[in-house]
Amino acid sequence: MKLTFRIGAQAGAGVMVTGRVLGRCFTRGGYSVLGYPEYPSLVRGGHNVFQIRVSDNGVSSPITKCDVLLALNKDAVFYHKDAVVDGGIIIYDEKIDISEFKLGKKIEKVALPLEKLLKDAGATQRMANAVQIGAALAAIDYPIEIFEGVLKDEFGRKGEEIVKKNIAAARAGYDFVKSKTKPIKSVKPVSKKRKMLVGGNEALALGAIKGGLKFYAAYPMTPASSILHYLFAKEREFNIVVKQTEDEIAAMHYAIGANYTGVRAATGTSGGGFALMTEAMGLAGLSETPVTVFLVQRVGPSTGIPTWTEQGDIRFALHASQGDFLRCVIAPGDINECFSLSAEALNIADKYQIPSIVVSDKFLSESLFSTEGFDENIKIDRGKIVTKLPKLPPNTRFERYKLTKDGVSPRPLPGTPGGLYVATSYEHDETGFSTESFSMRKAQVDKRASKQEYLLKDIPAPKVYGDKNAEFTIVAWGSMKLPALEALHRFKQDKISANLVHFTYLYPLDEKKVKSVLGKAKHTIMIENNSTGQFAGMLKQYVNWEPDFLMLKYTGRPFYAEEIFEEVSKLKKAGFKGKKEIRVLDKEDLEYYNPQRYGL
Amino acid sequence: MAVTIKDFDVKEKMQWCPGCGNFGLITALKGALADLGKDQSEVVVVTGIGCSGKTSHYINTYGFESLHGRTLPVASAVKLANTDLTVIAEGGDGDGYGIGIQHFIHIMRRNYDLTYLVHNNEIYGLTTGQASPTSLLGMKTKTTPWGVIETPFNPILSAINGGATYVARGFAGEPAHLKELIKGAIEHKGFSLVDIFQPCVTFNKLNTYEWFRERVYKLEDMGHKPTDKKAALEKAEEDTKTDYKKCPIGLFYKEEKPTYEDLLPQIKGKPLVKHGLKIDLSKAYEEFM
Ligand SMILES: Cc1ncc(C[n+]2csc(CCOP(=O)(O)OP(=O)(O)O)c2C)c(N)n1
Ligand SMILES: [Mg+2]
Repeated sequence: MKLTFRIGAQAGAGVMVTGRVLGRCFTRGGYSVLGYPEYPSLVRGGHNVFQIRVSDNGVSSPITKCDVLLALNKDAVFYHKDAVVDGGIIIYDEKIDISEFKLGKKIEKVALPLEKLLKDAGATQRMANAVQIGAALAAIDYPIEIFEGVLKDEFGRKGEEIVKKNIAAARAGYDFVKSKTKPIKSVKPVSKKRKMLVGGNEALALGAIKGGLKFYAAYPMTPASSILHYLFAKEREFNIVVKQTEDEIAAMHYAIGANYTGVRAATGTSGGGFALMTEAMGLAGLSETPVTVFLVQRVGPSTGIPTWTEQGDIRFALHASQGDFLRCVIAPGDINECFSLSAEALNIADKYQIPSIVVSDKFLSESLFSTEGFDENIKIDRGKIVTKLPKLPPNTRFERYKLTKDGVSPRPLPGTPGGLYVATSYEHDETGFSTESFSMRKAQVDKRASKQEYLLKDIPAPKVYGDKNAEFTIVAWGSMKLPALEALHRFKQDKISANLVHFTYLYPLDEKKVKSVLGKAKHTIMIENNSTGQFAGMLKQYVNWEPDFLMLKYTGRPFYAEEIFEEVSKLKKAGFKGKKEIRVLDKEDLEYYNPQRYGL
Repeated sequence: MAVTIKDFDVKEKMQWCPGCGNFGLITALKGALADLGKDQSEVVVVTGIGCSGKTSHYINTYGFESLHGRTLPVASAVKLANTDLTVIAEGGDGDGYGIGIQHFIHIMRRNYDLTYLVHNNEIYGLTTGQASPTSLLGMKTKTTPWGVIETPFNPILSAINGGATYVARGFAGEPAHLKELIKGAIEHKGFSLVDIFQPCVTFNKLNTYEWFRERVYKLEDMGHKPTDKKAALEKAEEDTKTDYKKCPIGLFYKEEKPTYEDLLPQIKGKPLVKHGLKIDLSKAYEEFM
């Protein structure tokens, strides 16, 4: 069973909330759910849409078609009418005059008298989304009781009256649609075991909390802000200090200062904010202070397109700051990896006393995904922190930057007697005292660099999904795992043997491990959500490997599974010959920023 | 065994120019810490970059020499992470009132319990003598060959207006007096600023020891009441208003206010760094089901 809803409305009408609640109705029934929001960088005026995909067999990518369109304003009908499949249904507010649109004959249409239904149910305008969700559920004959359960949990603490009214509103929407039309499908829960429906940023935050995060400093920036929001909401429950700083320069320095003092600390931002953090990246590098940065990419450069997605910042993550020093760049590819790699990034920072950067993007971070639960088997490894030390002779310092075999030196926390030292942005000797000695400079550079060898041992080879001996291989990193997996599914349906090689650890790279996986691939197609193939370039540079084909998309949308399926199918037909670079453009060329452009 | 001022010394030679105001300043700081009986390992000196920035290398406590202008955000986080520590932030006038001024403005609103010492030599010392935000009108420097034409920044006035709860000015040429101001600042619960006239004998030929000696006087000698905000604001402008005939030093303003940390229940009575890392997320998960 696969089913797709779209909810469209003007900005500010709350489609995100409606989408989330609708999604929960299905995760409660044991289904897999993906919730994918698209919205312009406007608080009012533009168009918002939320896509909810439901499946009993995994679902991971937005698609171009939908079965149920919930159109809350005229714009929504205009934008999404062509997405509705034959046999699908459009439920629209009765105030919308749909006569001016050409709508498919095989599509059911139901005009919802929203205001009247609310009034009759004794509900308020704020409960409109309950009516809408009730209506949407009726269209597929899904038990309304599940939604009632969600409402009870959601509004329980606001009192019975509010719950009652919401349920009445939901029933009104449900009964109305049932009275008007036959359901397009009959969908029933597949399991009593509830899944969770979690946003990518929430999973990053939860993983960090589980990984021992105690301090988070950030400056708001879409699409990273919801990490900050979630952590703020939870700071008292989990004894975390969360700080909104004056800018990202401060945020990164706060995170470094807190790590120096001994608490696990991180910051998070998008590319523009990370630009302001570059100077402190170097500070962490030279002073060997652990720090973790959540870098949630959006369309760049500069302000770019703030609310749309891209994978354009990994070269930046890799090179931010002057000079040479080791850092670890990690890109989770799905909701469970958001959780576990977030915790792992904190471990790597602590263990190797380096910056670790968790690279996500708007698509992964702001979408909702179902999960059966996170892997909580996380071992917190604080590396070489020392809290008990012998007394130091008078007027001497501890050898915080002692030259060691693995490049990692003992790190006393302030407050520890016997551990006095100065952490510094200057090149320094083993005690942290500034030095310009040629031999010490070289020794300290080599010491810091030698960590790479050990870090690489902790880093797994890229993962293979699908047939080991597939006819062709899709290569992806980070969030592009999601559409790639769904494309694999399509190939499988057609009995075509394909696989996916997916990278979560982007840097440093181990040539042997990478080649042990990619060396066997027959035809390779790499997909990246950027315009230059940044990771393909890194693979060439660091492990001397190149894909046969490079498929790039940089329109602001993630790859859709269908696009990958179609483009790769074409390549297959051509015997994997042809132009090496393929640039993909979305089929529906629409923008939500200026509905006025379409006379709306 | 009680700590002495010598415990705060380091073996390395302090490499400032002979006669630099930083010598008097660091002596006052070490003396203040010793007088207060501070355990070396409980003190963190966070500095920026500049001649002033070397202080963290020349004092035997925990230290962090961060980046130019970034003293305050690092120091703020050290305090939030471990409220048991005594945190001293130090930087130059370029560091704190130039490149890092956004942090200065905002830290005053927050009232963290930490002390900020500004080595105000009215010049960029380490970079060999460019104008700083506090260079006086008309002063010739490498970057103002025809004299400064920007109005100097008034840190004392900004601090009182900005919400700092302990605002003082010292003079490196009077280390005993400066020591008392620093002690008061460390003991003050909240954000304390001590702006320090610190002669740069190499690059600032205008604001010399003599220049200061002719002009400074102590507020306490004139019966100034630091709790009187109006009087404090007047005193803050006395130097400019008298065309630098009179430059008051001492405690301008002091106010009792809850600190930022006081308002965080999650670290009441237990520093963040001492919290356990074992977390049960099951309740948090429920919201997603
Ligand atoms: C981002 C950055 N810009 C510029 C510099 C160069 N720089 C080092 S110290 C300094 C100014 C020093 O003046 P001040 O802060 O007053 O300290 P002083 O040396 O006078 O004590 C400058 C511009 C730097 N280190 N970092
Ligand atoms: Mg200076």
